Amino acid sequence: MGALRLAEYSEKGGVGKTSVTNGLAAVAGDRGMRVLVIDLDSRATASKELGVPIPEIGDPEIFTLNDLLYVNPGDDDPLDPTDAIADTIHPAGESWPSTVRVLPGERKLANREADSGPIEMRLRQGLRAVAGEFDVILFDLPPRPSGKLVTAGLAAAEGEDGGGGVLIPATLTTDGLDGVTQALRTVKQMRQGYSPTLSVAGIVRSIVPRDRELRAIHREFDRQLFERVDPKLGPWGEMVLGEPLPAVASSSGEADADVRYLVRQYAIREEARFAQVPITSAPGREAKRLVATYGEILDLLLKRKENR
Amino acid sequence: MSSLIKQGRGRSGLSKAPEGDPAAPPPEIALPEPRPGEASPGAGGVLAAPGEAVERLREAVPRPYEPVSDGDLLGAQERRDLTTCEAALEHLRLAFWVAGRALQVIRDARLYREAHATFEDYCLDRWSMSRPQAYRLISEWSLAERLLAVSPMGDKVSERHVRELLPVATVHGDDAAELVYATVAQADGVRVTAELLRDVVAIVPTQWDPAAAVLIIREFLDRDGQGDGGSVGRRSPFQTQTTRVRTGLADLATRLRKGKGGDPEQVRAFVADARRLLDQIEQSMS
Repeated sequence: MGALRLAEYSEKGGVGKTSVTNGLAAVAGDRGMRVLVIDLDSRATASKELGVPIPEIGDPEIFTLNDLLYVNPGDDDPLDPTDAIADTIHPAGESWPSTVRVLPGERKLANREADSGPIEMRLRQGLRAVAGEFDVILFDLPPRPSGKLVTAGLAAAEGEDGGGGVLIPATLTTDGLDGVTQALRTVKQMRQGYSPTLSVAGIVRSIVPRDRELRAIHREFDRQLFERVDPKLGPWGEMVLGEPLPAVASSSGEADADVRYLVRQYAIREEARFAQVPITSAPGREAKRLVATYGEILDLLLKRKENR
Repeated sequence: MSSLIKQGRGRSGLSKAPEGDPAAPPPEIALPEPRPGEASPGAGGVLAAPGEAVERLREAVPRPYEPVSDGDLLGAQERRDLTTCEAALEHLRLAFWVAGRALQVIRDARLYREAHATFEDYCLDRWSMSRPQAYRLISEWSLAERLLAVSPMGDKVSERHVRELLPVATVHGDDAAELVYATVAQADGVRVTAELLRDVVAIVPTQWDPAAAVLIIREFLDRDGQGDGGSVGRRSPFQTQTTRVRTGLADLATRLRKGKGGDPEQVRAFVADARRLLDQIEQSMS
């Protein structure tokens, strides 16, 4: 069976794509699973958190996704990405499990958005050579409506055996719901061309605050999230991981604690990112809760893959 | 773990993509050669399309990003970004007089005539700019160019400096405004600010006499602690206010002596009122 491929994607920034990507990587790596994180965002946030010395902050000569996708227009015999990809995959920093590998992004990756060459399938092609070496492949996509990098990521996420999926993180806000709408539209477009079998692995409610004053509005957005229906892909409620939030919050918020697959907003998440350590290494109850949630999500998605 | 990803590492022939930063400054905008017979080639080229230079500059300035390092020294890319951002600010600082010169060219050569009957119509329609605004920019640019030439601060003449000097240029001409500026700028230890120039302009005599003006300005700077290491920051609000009142009264006295005053009854009422206020000030000291 091939690797579990998940593309974390939303057109909106700040909805938790990188948090979910690296959270899943940390949990899977902690279990000894072989993980590859592919950073398609030119801000390279995931790569930095994973401790990779990308050109801007460490090694100017390190090979990145940009080098894999780039083809010199004057080169009559372009390098096959299946030959080159091994040079672009690096171990995560020493704080991370030794089974986690990273195909990092870098700032110059933004040049690829305007690349006139047919580069959209180079990542997918390159992964053919190494996908068998991994149990989980995570794609951290940039918050953009399609474009070359999103297309390259989603095309690669489909995988050769099909069944790769898009995991859509959504904050319970207007932005979060807009991001889901737009991400679903992109998935449908990809199915019409590059990735006919690309699926929606799920919608993850992320960065859900514990702020009491915000609970009412978040509950309203949660209700909407479960009520919307996509004419092609079906009810959103079937795509959202977990049950709806209780209609009325308890004053302590304990009722929400029973809702599974809900990635809550905890300061420890930002602290772990700042320290460039996996959430699995972070101390405290909040870190444990996050690890448990990422673990639940990973288990669910692995189970679904097995059952397919 | 992965035997495969070690296999072949470094032997693929992969090389770093040679392109630069996507937000790096674009190459200089190539301006066409001046037409034969043009009086002042200088910077008198023509951009291919309105807004092209601004658009290129906008594209060149990077998007905001998080610090990439905690170190004190900037990396090569950070240094390039700083240069680009400072270039943008430099454009902002000098744009006002470039705009003024452009407006004058359009007005004097009647380049607006294809679509507009008058220069005023053109300014309002094309740039939502009123006539006074347009003419102020035109007045400022020529003065700015002169001040740039005499300023010991090089190109640090700001729009506000020029604006404070415009009343002198309007009444006495650009030579007078340039002399006022040069007298202030070349005084020892004086930091030229718009506020200081406003105070200096306020004491410039109504009747223009270059030698007398220089003396008055120097006395003002010495009296108010501006010279010899002084700075505008050392002036109190009281000093600023009394300077203006004194200058205003002196100007009024000169006008009255020359018979340019208003109704004698009104003058007498003003003098009585002023005397009463001065008495109040004096009494407040006791």
